[in-house]
Amino acid sequence: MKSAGGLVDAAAQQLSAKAQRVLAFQQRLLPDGASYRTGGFALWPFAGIAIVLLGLLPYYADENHVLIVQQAMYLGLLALSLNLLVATTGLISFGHAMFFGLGAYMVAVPFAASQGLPNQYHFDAGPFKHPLYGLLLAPLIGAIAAFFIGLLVLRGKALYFSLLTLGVGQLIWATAHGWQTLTGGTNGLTGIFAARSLSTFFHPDNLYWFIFGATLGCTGLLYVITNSPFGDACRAIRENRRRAEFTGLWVKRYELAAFVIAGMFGAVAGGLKAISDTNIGSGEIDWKTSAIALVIALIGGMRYFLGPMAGAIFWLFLFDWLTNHHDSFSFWNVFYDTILGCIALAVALLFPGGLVGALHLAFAYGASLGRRVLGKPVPEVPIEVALAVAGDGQEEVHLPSLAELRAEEPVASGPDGAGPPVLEIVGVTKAFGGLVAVDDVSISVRRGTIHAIIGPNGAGKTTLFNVITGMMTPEAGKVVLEGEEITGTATWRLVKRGLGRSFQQTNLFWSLPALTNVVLAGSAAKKATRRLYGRHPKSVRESAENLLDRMGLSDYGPVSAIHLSHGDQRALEIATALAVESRLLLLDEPTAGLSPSETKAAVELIKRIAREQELTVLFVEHDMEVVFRIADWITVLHKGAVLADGSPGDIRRDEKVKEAYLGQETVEAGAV
Amino acid sequence: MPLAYTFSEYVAQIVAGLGQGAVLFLVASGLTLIFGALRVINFAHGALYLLGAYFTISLTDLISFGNATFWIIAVLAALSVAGSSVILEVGFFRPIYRRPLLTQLLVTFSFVLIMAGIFRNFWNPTVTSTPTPAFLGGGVQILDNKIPTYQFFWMGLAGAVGIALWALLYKTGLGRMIRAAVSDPELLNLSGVNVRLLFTGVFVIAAFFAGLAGSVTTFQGSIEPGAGTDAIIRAFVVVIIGGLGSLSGAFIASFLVGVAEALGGFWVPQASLAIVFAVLVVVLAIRPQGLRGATV
Repeated sequence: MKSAGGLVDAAAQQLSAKAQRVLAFQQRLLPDGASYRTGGFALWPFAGIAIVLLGLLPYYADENHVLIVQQAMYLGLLALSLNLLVATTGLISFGHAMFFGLGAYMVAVPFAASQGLPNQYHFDAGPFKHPLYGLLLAPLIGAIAAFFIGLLVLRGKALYFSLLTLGVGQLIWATAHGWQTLTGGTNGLTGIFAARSLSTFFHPDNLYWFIFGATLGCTGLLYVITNSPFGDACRAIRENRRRAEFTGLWVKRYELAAFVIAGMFGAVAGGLKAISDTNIGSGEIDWKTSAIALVIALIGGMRYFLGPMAGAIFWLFLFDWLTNHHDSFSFWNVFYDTILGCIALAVALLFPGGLVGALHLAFAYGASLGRRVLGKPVPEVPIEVALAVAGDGQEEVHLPSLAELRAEEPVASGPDGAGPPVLEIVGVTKAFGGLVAVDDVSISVRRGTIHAIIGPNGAGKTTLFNVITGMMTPEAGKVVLEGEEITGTATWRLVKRGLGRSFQQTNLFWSLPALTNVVLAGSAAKKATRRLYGRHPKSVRESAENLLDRMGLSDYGPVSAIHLSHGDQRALEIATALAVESRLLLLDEPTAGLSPSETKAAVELIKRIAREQELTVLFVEHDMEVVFRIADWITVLHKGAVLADGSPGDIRRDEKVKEAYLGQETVEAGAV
Repeated sequence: MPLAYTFSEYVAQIVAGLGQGAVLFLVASGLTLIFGALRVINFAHGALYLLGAYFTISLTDLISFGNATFWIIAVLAALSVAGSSVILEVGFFRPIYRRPLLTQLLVTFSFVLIMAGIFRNFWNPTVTSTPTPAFLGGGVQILDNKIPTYQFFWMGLAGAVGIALWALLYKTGLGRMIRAAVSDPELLNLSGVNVRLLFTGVFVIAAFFAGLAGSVTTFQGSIEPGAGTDAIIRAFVVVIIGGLGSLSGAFIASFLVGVAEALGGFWVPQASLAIVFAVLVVVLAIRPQGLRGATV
């Protein structure tokens, strides 16, 4: 054991030495964290100036450029709505063009049908034959379609989701392609609006302003949604689906909501396309449009809200420059798609920050230079900001913890197995193939107790936890929480009923700030994560800060969870479990991987909080010292079955336990 | 809608569908192999297929097209594709195996754009094909209809490739290593196997069959720069229906899609494309992991 531990320590030291070297190298090459932050602030006025310049475009740019920007607007909106799925929620859709198509046809079809074109369905669409009224219907059809398509495609996870969206997107495309009497197929529907545009807009510039204004409005709405509590919930799901469930979020429903919102705005983008270009053909809504929308978002910078918009403008100007500004046999013109592909390849492989990321970097260099010229000291800002821009964040750097938990007075011991049962496990059996991991186990956990489950590796402890928390369905038996059977109930529902859990391996929303980790849990409990605008409720934010404070993490609120020390991550995980307002806390090896001093602090913390909040705690632990220090009641599992069940004193004296598992020495060492 | 077809016409359609399914399998088998071992969804696979077709067109300009040379050209074209794929794998795929899914999708997709320009400029940008070799030119009389020999040739080839791949995966040491790499590449690496080389090997084998598929369909196919993306999307459909990484699933799905498309196109010609994707959606609505897929 000792030598193995030594090896692990040596490996950890080596790793941290490597991380230090990487960090030092990056610090020499890249601007410091504070400059990054300043550079990030500088992006906002820059974006403001860019928006104003785009708004005034017809006054100073030639017609051709105005047209390109007009097209970039709807393409950018498509990429922006896609980015809500991809970058915010972590759902990589490869079929977003289907909503683009639906929106465009919603504008084009009623118009074309009312015109009575040859080989075309003819019906009177009433007011909706006017494209601007058709545009009002676009988000509606987008939302309805996204709802039903979402129900289907969200059955697939990760890659399967991507491929399912690709398939459904192609189904929509193939339908549009084949149903020529409705959509005109590849040739499409043309001349939408052309007859009316003069009477409606009087001048092409007015059309530009209309498209610009509509895009600006949609972008604003998307910004609000992305930064709402709902947006936070989406980011949480992107970071860690399982943790999100244990935060009390009905993950599927949030994903569906994000899919519907993205579909809605994608359809608006399509409607704007039909109005802007006065045409729509089936060739413009196939999977390549979906892929291009992704590429555009990537090139612009997916981590930045306006990145996709910047990407669209860049992409279309580059396209125009390659194809219209060189004679038709020049290299640039002939290989235009190869060149665009190479740019996409280079950005994806080498600079995932994209265009806006590059701008951010440039501003940061400027800020760094300015600070040096003025001779101002560099304030301490976590390097995480810098790393977030530099790469995928694959190199994990743990900052040393400054928080030392104050040694508290030992808390008076709680009731000895008194009180009514909160959780009853009745005859639960769970087998994996031939291996019976949990065999007819019955345990009763009483209110207000700290109840330990111990047993050697493979005794079935974690499996039992997974059965209790609804992650696994047992073959036999039932689990009763506060008098109601909960066997096989979805995790998020259990969380709503007051069950919190921490994992054997720390499980957090890694790239979200520590405070957000806790706030999300509180917000979900209050159903505030359904809000599409504004901030988390004040009461939730205050109690989250309070919780962090009690965990000794008050200084780390804005720091991403991944940059905390292991002990602090453990404390944060317990804080999130508490913030869901749980009455029963399940802790799976809460001190795993902690140093002896951290273990002591964590144990005191758990005991203190359990007593103060009148919580019931059920925990699995290997460290006998920890068990005997805090447990009021102990259940010993051995080979999937209950070997002994009783107070610590009983367990210490139990001959069966001594023989079968603990060994004389351990028990005595534990009996502090 | 004219549904009054004779039995014999149905048989002819089904055989044509099986022939198309066979070609689909030749492309999809490599795609599913790459996904199974490398865990990468390879959008560039369609380009490899088309590269095989274009190499064949170039080679027929050099070597006169006959029964024997058909085979020589097919093998040469497939080998050239396999050779080119080494550059692709070593240069661009190795760096992305451990990168996020999004990076993988975007990197492989950028090759769709890159290769589109290359195909258009290095080869004839309009629709082309090669002459049909004499031994495939005939037909087999089934009921009232004469079915072209090449349909059976493709089916035979697909069967041979399927058996060869199955034998490779389940009857050889290399196959055992590939299957081990599917379940845990890191552990295999620690066991002293050069996993990077193994991955290159898998990629090259898959590319070889994609190139072969491109080559043996050149005489019948309408080869144009966009044909690669059509091929890859259909191959994706097959791989998803079959279950990602499953060879037998891809085999079943190929023929399912081929026949569904042929029959669908028979009844409602405009909907033949939509039917391919409708099959996908229906199968996945029932079994999200695909016909033979293990997990979602």
